[in-house]
Amino acid sequence: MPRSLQRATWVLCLLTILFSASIVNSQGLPPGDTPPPTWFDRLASAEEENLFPDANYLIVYENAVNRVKETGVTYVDHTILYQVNNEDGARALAVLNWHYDPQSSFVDVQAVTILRDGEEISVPVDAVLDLPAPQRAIYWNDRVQLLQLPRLQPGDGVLVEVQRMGYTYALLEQGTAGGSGGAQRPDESRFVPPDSGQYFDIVLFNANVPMLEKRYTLVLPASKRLQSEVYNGTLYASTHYTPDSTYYSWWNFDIPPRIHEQRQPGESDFAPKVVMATAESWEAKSRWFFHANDNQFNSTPEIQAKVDEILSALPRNATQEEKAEALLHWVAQNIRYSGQTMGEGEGFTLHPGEMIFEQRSGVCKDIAGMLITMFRAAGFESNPAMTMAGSRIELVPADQFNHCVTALRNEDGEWVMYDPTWVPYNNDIWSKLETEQHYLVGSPEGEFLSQIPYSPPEESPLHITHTATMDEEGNLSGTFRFEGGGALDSRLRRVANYTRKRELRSSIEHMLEPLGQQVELGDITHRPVDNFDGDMWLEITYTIPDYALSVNGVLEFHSPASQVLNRHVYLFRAANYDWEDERETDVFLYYTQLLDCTEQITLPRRYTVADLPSSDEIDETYAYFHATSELNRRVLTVNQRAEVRRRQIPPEGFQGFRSAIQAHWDWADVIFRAEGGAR
Amino acid sequence: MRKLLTTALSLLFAGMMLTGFAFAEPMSFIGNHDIGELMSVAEQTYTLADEDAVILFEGYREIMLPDGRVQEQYHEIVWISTDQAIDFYADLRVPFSKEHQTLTVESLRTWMDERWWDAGETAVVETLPGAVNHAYDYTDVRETMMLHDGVQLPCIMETVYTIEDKHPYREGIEGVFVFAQDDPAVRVNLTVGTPVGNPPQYRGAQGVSTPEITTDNDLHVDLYSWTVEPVDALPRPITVDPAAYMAHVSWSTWDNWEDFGNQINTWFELRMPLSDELKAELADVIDGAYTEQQKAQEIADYVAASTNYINWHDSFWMAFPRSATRTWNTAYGNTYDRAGLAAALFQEAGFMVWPAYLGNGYGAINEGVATIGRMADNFGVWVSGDGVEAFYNPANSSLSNGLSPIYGRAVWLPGSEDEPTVRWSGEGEPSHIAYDIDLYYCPVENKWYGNGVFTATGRACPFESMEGIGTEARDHIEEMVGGMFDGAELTSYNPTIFDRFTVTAGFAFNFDNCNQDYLERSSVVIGNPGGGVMDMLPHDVHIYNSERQSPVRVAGVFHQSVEVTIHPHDFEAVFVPEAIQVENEAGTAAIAVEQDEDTITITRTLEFAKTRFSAEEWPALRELLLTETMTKNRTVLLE
Repeated sequence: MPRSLQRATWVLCLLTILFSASIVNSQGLPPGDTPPPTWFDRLASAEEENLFPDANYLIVYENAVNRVKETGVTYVDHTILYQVNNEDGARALAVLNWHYDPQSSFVDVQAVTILRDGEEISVPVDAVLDLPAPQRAIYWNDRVQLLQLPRLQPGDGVLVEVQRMGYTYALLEQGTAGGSGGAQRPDESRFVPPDSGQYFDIVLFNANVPMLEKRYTLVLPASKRLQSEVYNGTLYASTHYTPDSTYYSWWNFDIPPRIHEQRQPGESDFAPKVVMATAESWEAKSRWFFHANDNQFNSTPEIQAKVDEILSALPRNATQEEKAEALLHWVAQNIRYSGQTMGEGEGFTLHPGEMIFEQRSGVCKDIAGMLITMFRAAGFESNPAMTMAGSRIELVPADQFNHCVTALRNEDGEWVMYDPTWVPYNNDIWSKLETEQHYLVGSPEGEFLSQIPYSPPEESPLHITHTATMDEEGNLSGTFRFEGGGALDSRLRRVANYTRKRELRSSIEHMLEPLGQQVELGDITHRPVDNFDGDMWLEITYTIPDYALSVNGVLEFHSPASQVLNRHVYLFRAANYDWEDERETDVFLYYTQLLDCTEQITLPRRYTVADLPSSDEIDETYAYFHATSELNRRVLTVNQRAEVRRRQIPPEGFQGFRSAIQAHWDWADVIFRAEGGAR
Repeated sequence: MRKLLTTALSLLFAGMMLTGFAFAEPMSFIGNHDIGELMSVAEQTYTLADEDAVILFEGYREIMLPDGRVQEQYHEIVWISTDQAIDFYADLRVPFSKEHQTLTVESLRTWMDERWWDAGETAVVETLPGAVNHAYDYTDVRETMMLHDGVQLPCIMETVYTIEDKHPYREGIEGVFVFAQDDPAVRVNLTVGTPVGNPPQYRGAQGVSTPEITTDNDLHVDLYSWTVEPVDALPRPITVDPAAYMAHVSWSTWDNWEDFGNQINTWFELRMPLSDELKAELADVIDGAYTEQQKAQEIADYVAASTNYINWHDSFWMAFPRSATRTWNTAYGNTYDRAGLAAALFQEAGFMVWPAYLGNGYGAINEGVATIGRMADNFGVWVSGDGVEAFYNPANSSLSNGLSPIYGRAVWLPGSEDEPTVRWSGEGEPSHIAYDIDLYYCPVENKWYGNGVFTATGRACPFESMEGIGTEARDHIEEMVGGMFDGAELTSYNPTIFDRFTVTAGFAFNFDNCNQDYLERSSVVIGNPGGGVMDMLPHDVHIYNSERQSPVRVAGVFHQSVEVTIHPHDFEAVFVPEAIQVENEAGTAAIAVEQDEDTITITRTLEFAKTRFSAEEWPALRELLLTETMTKNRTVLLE
């Protein structure tokens, strides 16, 4: 055994001693000392302590030791001990599976053992099946390994030992290496990461089930330096070194299961985690990303012809911005999200423009790459960029990315961000669902991490104009006109676009159902969903027989628009959920919104509204609501304005947000009473 | 060969272009369909601007080869113009059994910008169905993705693929093919092939004519071919059994129901063996059960708790039985295997069991051809014992010991009976359900107290959901009154008649008088009784639809009445519903109101005249349903 390896082994032993109480023989221990726990001891202790009685199963112990080689190839020895608590847990663990991407990783299931009544029942790992993985929208020939366990019983322990080899990469969260029976262990040279020699990882310290103990150790060659930080809580940590390696360890105990609440941000925003990277800086990462992809954007005569065709439809004096927007919409509308593999380099390399132009499909990086290719063909300076949709990026320069976009250098020399993947059917160049997101532009000079600015509600308005006439029977006829901008432009287009043409009428009837199932639709008109000359609008004419209740000659009714808005996920997302009384995690709505609604209801001749209701004005940090009403002759005007002021609302702001939404709901219950006999 | 063909076609078309020959699209990959001509018919027949897609040709061919293997070929040519159509047609997910079948993609191409865009090698991707990602024993199945390249709207896509058995493993083929598709079609073809001289049983319905019969001398099969053109899209909303009213063909190589049933029963029996361990487990499960019904319910609950349900195309697994013991050991089962486990346990516990199919929709389905094409979604187990005549549904491991699963539906017990039959027809005796309630206001507590009685018969009889020794009856009645009065809590109940044909029960409840407006008026809104007629309508019935194209089929001739007598104490009624009487071809609906000094009685009645309503009769049926449900007909305002 080489001296360095001996030393490493010694350090690992020392660490095990430190972390596992001791490995001292139980004989001759001083009073009060206990021998290191066996797997059975751990199970018995877990059962006795019963810290998480509601869990179907739990993770009693998890340990990952990750050895990184000079090339950046990693070997992770992963040990996990589950405990089955009930039949549901037995069902959940009946088949173990490990997902992996064969381009970047390999899984070797080394041992699986059932621990039952003091006995170890070994499960033959040569029965592991290596199969194509389930795939949806991304078809990169991922694999999955499966192992059937014997029928489990409450109280059983399941000990799993797996070695993973490979690397992780950003974009699409595909890098999870996953054990082996069926598959042959490949040569490790395949798994040298694209950014050779570099390493990064984001390790979450919780799971969907409770964990009694979790440990993660990173063993880096002494030549590599590590940047790391713990977020969203505290962890135990240690650092040790040998001449050849440095050992970084983090661990924690009695970790409750992950909190699940509706409309959460990505779990990395709130789960305790360690972010680590050997990259020197964001600038270095930016340079690598640029160079890894810069050969992918060559145009072809066909692409050039298409670019020329698109641009020729614009006025001769069109600006770069106008040309860029035309090219963006062509890509967004014509390159569908459906990713085929390019083989070597898949995952971190954008596909060549020529390939995507032929396939007319790809994942985000390919769609972004198509736009870069077309921008460059048009003579613009454009580079790829990475971002994280749905979570924040921490400052440690690890690849905390799940999405790829396009950067265009404008005439002032600034980078302007375009996202063709998120703006199909959206009159925008960058979706308002991606504001405040961090991003990193790839460039030869190297860029620092940047952030998309905050977008106020006014940039994502939904203007509703409702004009209607009510007769003496309480029948209501009118027209709703919806106009959406920013995020609401795309939501409104979905109302028209997310349904079969043959089913649009039924879908709109369903939308107006809250006004009464007796709804009779007239015309439905809207801007063509793929027309980007302006923001989206939708007009619906309707009749609702017996909308108002006639009580002793008084017509009683609610604000019609409020009924429609109250529970419609596209029109007013924030009001579409039954919000909890308390929140432990952020509310993540993706976008801010302004709701600006004016209703004008012409009442029957000689009718008036005696007590014109209005709401309290709720003006909170994160949300706003106010509604008023007035009568001018016999036209009842009802105004309401709601604002969702941040796309992500922390728990401390939740009550204020909720009170504004509650006011919106309450307004929908307010009764307007129109009495006859006025002069 | 494929490349050669493509090249030849390309050269031909290039030549035609040079000579100025006017054409839009070329010929199909197989079948000699002139795509340009089909497109031209599509333009003349349909308003393309109103469609997401028009299917130019849809062909399905299923052949039983002389060696017993089965070969299926799909051929689709479709013009698309919207994102919805891309979602539906561009990326196809094709299921097959990797162990028992081969799948060959013959053509996957797109006609766009006046040329074919052939899909590349990476466009055909074999995947594991997500449903079996945790079902080790079922991982021989696959879903192959076929991804069209070159899709830019509008365009035409052509797909041809063949699935062929590697070895014979089934003795027959059968099915029901409905010609109408989700989108309108110019031409739709069904071809069924059988070894020469062995004709299948077949029947065309709803206007389908006799087949064209030819012989394929290479395959040594006779081909029976039906072509319908043009075919409008399936009427909306799409129902669970379009064959009930749309042009279709049923076919089967089984001579009769009995032979087919015996085969299904044989597969079913192979699923029944139980290990001693499982028998011992069963003994624990049913130990202490007071009644046979409780015993059966405990078994159903145990199967639910001990196995996951694997929901994937059942037809792939029908002929591949796993023993009940294996299903239990692995902790998961598909429809047939989970049914097998449950049946084995029921049988071991002393019940008699049969495999059972129920019709997808209501009404008779037997067209004289032995096929499960209109029953395939509803396989389960019929369980019979002392006080138990129940249908076990493996999908949710539920047991229905009453009429509701079979009322108005065809039932087939393969291997024991001749053919699918509607045993309890919804056509004859109406299914009655009547609620008679008195409601008293208590000003001291600001509460409403109610008591009443309900009677339900036929399909409306809630016997199965009330039966049991736990809280079943309470739960049902609480849901019933909760539907009528928001927030109602049941305080007592007692049945006086309780069998699977009739239930009559008394009950008492109360709820807070919380519906007060700013004028301090209280409202009593009499909603839909839980488990009442509105809950028994098919899922495709949406009252907000002012029109519909498909007919409505309900389980029974429902007659429902809700009579509520309000004793308002010192309250005075400021609004009560108006009396209404609606009578039309669909039935009757009425609101009757009686008021005296102390009481207000509202009676809402809804009576269907029949169980089948054509699309043209929908406005009449809707009028009845609106009368029943409109706010003004169910609200009493008091002050």
